[in-house]
Amino acid sequence: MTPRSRSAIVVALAIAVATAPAVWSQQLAPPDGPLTQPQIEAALKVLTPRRVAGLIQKFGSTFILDVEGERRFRTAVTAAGKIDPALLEDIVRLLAPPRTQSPGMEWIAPTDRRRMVWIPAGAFQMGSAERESGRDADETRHATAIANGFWMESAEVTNLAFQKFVLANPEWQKERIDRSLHDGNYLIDWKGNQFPIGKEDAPVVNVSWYAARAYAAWAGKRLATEAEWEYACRAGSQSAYWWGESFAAAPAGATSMLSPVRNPWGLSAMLGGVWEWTASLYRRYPFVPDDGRNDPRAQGDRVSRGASGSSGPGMLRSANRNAVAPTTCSDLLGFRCVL
Amino acid sequence: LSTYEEAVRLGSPEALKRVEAVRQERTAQVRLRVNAVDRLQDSGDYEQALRLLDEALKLEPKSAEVARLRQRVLDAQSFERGLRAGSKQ
Repeated sequence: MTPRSRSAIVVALAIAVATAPAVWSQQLAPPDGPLTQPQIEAALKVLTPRRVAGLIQKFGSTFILDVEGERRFRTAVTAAGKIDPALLEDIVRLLAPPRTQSPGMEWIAPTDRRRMVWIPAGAFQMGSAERESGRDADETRHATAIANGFWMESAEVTNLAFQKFVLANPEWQKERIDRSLHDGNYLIDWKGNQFPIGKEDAPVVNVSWYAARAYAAWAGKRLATEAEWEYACRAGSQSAYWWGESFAAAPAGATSMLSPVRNPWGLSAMLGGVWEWTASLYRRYPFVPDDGRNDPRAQGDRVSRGASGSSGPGMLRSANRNAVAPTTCSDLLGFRCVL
Repeated sequence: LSTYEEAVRLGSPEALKRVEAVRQERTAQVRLRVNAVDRLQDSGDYEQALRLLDEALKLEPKSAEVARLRQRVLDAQSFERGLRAGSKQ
């Protein structure tokens, strides 16, 4: 990669990932209608709180409130006038994930209206046991801590969700995307901004790591680190698969596309469906989260996980890793986001 | 009503009762409409809300509460029109 194309990537990511929500907030509303924070705060001065909640549910929002954002939002709304505390809570619940969580708790993100489940903090053995059938040499087992719980999408990002993203962000449409951000196969199965007929709920595929990351940022989320991904996939298990040591013992349809089968923490198609991008560079274990492997600006292959429904038992193991160039677009590779 | 008021002016207890009954009924009808407006605002049906408030104003033309509520509904309607017009830009 030339220094010029490298700088083009940095510039494109800086524009698309970091500033998109800020640009929208200056307009009255973004093209597809989700509400900005100033709009919601203004609406609460004029409309009934129930109406505002209804509008958020119908049109979504361009943002998710973090802890500090939630505090400021509450202050701004209550300072603007009297509001029934119960109705304020209803609105906050739409815009911010619950601050008191329990494993398996669900929440719908207002930005892309996708279901997320709570993954509690904890520690686990990352990698595979030496005797595990089908294991690779890059899976050396080691203790890994997940310091903070996080929200993870219960399923892979769909064509329909990704379509909303490209309609709201023209620079990520297949005719306009910067050539340095994909390998030439970006959304190759789409016609313009239209996904294949009847596939709105299928996982979006043929998306590069850059595109996956840009989607996540647009939705106010991020990609999981490799450790977070494996921890969530295992859902407390130490076996080769989240359901046990034997691939044959998989629940019926567990690895198929659009599988309704969920692991014990409420996640579907973690093993199977399509491969999923993670935030992490492919590096040797142990997994050290702050050694630069999660740096989005770093060059190198990124890890994909989870294999696809057409993969064999060896690929479908919880510990299996795959190194993929970030520009790669494959019909077996998609992603899901965390928060 | 004016006939009854005339009757009251002339001192008829029966007419006084009838006037009071009409007044109570009128207030109840206004209250019914005002309460319905709250729900209509929640669902964004401002046209129907304004229709009901216009009916209420016919029943009680001097009601400051109804006039205030009508202005609030107009403001809400105008706000939402601006919001949606913006989203189509």
